[in-house]
Amino acid sequence: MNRPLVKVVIGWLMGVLCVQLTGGQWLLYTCGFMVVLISGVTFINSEVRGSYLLVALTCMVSGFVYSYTMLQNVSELRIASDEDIHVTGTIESKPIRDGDQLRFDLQLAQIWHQSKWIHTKERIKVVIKIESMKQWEQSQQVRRGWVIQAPLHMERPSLPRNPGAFHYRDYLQQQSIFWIGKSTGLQSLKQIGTESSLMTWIDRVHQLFTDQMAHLYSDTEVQGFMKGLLLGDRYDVPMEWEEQYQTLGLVHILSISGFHVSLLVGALFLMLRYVGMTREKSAWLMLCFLPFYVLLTGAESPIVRAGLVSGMMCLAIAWRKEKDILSFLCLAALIQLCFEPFLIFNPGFQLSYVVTAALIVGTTPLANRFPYGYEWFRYTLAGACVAQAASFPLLVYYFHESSLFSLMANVLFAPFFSVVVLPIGYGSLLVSFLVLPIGIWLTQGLTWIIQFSQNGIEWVQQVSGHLFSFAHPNWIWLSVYILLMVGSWWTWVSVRYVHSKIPWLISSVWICWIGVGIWGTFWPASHHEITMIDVGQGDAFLIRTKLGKTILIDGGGRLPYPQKEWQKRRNPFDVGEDVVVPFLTYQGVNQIDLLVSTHGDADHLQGLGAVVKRFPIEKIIRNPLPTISKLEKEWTREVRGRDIPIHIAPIGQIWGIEPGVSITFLYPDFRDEALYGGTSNNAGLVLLFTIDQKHILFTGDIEQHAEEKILQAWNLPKIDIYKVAHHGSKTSSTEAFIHQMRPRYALISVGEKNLYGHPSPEVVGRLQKAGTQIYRTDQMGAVTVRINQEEVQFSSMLQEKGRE
Amino acid sequence: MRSWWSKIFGDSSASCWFCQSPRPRVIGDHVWEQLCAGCMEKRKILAYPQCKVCGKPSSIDDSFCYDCQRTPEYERVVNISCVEYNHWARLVVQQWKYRGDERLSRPMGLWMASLIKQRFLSRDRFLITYVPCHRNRVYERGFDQAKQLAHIIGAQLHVPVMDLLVRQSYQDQQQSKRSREQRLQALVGAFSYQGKQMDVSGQSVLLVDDVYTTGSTVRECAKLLRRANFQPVACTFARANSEYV
Repeated sequence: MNRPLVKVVIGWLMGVLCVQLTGGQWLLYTCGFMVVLISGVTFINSEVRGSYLLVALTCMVSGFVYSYTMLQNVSELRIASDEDIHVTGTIESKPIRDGDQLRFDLQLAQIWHQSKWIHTKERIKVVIKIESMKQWEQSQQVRRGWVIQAPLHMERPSLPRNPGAFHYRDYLQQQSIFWIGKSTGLQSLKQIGTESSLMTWIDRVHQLFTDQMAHLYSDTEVQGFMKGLLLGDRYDVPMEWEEQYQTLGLVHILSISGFHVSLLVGALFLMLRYVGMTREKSAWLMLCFLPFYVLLTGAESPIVRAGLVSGMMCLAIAWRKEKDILSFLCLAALIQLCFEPFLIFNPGFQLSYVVTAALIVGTTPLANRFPYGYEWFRYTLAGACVAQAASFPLLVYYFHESSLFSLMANVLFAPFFSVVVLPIGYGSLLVSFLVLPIGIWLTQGLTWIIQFSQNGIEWVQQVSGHLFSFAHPNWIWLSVYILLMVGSWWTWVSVRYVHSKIPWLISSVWICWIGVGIWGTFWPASHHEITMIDVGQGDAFLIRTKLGKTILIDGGGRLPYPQKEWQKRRNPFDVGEDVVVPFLTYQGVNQIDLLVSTHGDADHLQGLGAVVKRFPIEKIIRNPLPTISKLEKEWTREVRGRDIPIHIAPIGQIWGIEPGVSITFLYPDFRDEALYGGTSNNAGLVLLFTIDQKHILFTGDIEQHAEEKILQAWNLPKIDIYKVAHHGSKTSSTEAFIHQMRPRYALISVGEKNLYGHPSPEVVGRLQKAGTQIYRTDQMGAVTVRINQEEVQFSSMLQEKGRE
Repeated sequence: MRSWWSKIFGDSSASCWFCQSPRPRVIGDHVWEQLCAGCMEKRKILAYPQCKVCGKPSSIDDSFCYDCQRTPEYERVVNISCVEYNHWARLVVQQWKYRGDERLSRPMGLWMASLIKQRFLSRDRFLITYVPCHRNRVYERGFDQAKQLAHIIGAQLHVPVMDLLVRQSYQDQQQSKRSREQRLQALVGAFSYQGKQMDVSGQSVLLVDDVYTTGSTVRECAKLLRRANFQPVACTFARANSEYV
């Protein structure tokens, strides 16, 4: 099998890998390549020398390309962060209005900086806050191609503040965007001209279709869903639906995927043939139609991929050449990478190509080996298996979770959407331009079908325990997984193992290896780990013991403030859903053994709502006082509904968790009259953890009153790590309390630039006077403490501010 | 000279084993799947249920065919075959044997080997031997067709091949050109056993031949092998079905 393009792609990947491993050190791998080249010419026998040289040469070229583009990929703007500047530029992307935000990419022409205009060619992201309903309506007028002038507050994209969190700065940097310009109010935006291009025209056509769809579908949810499916408007798909599809691994059918494009092209081609056109003419016609379709639906990388491959297929038909999809796919990848080299680091791009390549190579052989069934069924099943297996390592690496039902859902729903929903959707849209009633009649039927399938998906979704978290995999696990996957595929497919037990053996080892990914290694870890999760203003601590017990103390959160309907974002930020749950998933948590809720304030409790919904919980411990706040009452009701036992903290008792780890419940005493009716802060649960003879004190939000009570009732040992009470408020952590504990380290969980002025300089001063080393989330992001018999190690996410 | 297109995109198709037409290339193909669509349509795999001795398709499960009922029990030889000896198979065999397309031994041998693996390999020890040609015939054709098949099968299954039989009589008219009675007549004394007298009591031996028509050749050879204390079974590439003898 002679496929030069496959070799070129392999070489390209190796080059990228080399750059990643060596960090782009020119000299090192230039020497390496010389050695490889010379050895290739001299030692390798003539049969494989050609391929060897091809791979080595592309490896070298891509190595140089990447290290060069990485060096070039820096901002040309010489401005400081948090600077206010005036800019002019052209809107480059379709503006997205999301609640009270308007976002678009701006191609700068010039900026007003240090009282002169500077020309530049940089692209930035612009986020404009909409202030009123009137502006919200006006914002719909903003179009791609507008030349605008605006004052912007320039910021660097944020860094991840928790392990495993989304690296927004890297993500934008890969699109050569280095700055985010923010501004408030639409009136600051001044339109000074319009540049019309092909894209503005295409946007107009897109708008035409969108308007037509608004006529067609009466149900807004189904309308949004179909807009995503047919026109690629991902932002119109209802968020709840998207989450459900995501957990079931069906998200690829939600927005236009490459598969849709191939399906559509195939169907149109057959239609043209049926009308009576020759193969060649229909292929040329499809070639004219393809770029338009790709641009219309948003030109995301999977769509571009499918468009390129289908285009090459059409070209092969038109020129009557041989069709080799694998080589076409490789060429498509190379074309995309030539325009945007950094796409290769994009998870969507990787998933799209890996899954397609696996489907092309793996499906047919596997389908031939299934002994029974109709051909279409065998192919669907084999395709679903191959796609699942190939996408699994990437999904685990980037998203850390996978559903048990994913395979089943794909076999059941994916064909249904591509065979039923998609054709009727496009058909009704086109027909409606001619005869509107027929279109409406069709879409009513479609709405009914979609709602029916949605009920099915929701029902599957409710079955608990199908979602597994995988700790971030290391390269050993990943490479063994890939070896086992390819190995078991090969043994199933190959003639050599037809009547042997080896395929069964390898496949069962492979499945066990996935189990290793879920439940981690079988031997205990070397350290106990405490993480102070950066939840902004609030508290959330995760404790993972050596034997894998998981304890979560509070879950951060914020009070929901009232919003008008138009202000609501599609995916409003929620500490639990967007910070705590992703972090726990990243850590590979599949069950929480003990959940501690110190008290009912929003900044400790609200984030636990999402946690309770996502993870099975063994038991919950709370303080002995009655629930006061509405939030806490709702939360308790939710917990009761899930049959999770809630325990009242047994004050004065010591609980052993595992050898070397115990919890002492210090406070509060429910007989204390002062706690009733006052603020909830003083009723907060205070725990003393003893982990390998180190004492860690968790104090919740307690204030002076509680501290005095604790000092009266207990003879505190010397504390090693002190969670500073109430985010470092000056009403807590009194001199006497600190003097008694003499903590070696202090943890402060506090939001950056918070309204309360936490932590107060007085408390910081008191701690420093006692010789305490302070770790705080507003400066360091999440802080991880690793404890064992010998040592206590600290590490933080934002290292550069770490050790001051 | 390849076109610029196939220089860039490579050759993705392979050719059919038997007629060299292009066919799709799929990883892990079995040899009987490496056929073009035309051959795939024409070749006919023997259907089940079959006669439990000679492998002739029959309508009744677990039965003996009429031919096997006529032969005495001690002469019956279990036979398995890859395809029905229809027009396509006849053309293939003709091209291979009479027009000297020696390459075809390979797909035929591999095909037979995987069939043997499925049906017979549970027997713990066995040998392979073959129905030999007369040395004059080998000289005419340039190769001994059954011997080649036997060696390919032996190499594939890691089983030794032994030359146990030798053909004594050489006739102008070939076996395939005679009627049933003539064949039975002509075969008497056609082969002889040339292997050493060994203590092989109960050792299975696999007899390889290209075409099974009435089974007389196979039975004749089996008779000699039984006399030398072997337990013979047979494997042939094609097997005649009643309407096409």
